[in-house]
Amino acid sequence: MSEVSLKVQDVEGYRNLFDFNDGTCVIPAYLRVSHNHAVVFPMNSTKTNRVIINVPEKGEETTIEVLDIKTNLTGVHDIGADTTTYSDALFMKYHAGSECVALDSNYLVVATGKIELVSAANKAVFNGGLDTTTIVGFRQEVTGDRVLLSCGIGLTNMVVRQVSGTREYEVIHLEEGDL
Amino acid sequence: MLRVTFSMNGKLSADMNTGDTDTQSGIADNNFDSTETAVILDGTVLTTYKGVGTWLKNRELLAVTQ
Repeated sequence: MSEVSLKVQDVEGYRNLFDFNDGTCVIPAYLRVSHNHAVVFPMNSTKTNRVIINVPEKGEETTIEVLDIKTNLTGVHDIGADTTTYSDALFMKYHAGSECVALDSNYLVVATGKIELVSAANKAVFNGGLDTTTIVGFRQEVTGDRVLLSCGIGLTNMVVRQVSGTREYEVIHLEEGDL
Repeated sequence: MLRVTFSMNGKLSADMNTGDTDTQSGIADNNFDSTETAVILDGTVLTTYKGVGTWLKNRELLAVTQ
């Protein structure tokens, strides 16, 4: 039987909230509860992460989005095809055909595209010219009078935001590790 | 076969297998409402459902949404 330790910290300031120490393998988890602020996590890009969003009680309907993103990317605009393509090795962790999004500096979606396998490498391809857009990633969205979402995060930053509603929601971030 | 239990502070629970999508209404055992959908996907294939998708390869996706 393997032994593990769990450490739970507030994502802002990394204040220790809970610590269970029973082995050499430590699972760090970062917790934030919010109702009207976006929760932004800078992460270790060498690991795959997991986020859990939870609004357990019934109440006002809410929509919460999770953005799995990478910043500082440069798109290549093919004027003939009128497409903009972003390349990054981390895109290989995603299924070809996945829906990807290009975002402005406020993390608002400016274009929706697809991951395409081109010359044995996954690329994010968007229609049109996105010359000033440097943030590309993936978007998950859950809606309801209570919601739950647990999904993997494979890029370098994560944004969690309540798109509609004023509910308090929990955000838990775990370093899940590589397969 | 992996079995996963949703538990949201005891208010919502369902014992489901990976790959299940439960859209039935009014199931007494797991307390889902008729408008709620619970989905568990293992990420081996690309699947999209009501705003969520298994974009990341081989990573489980669990969601309760509408």
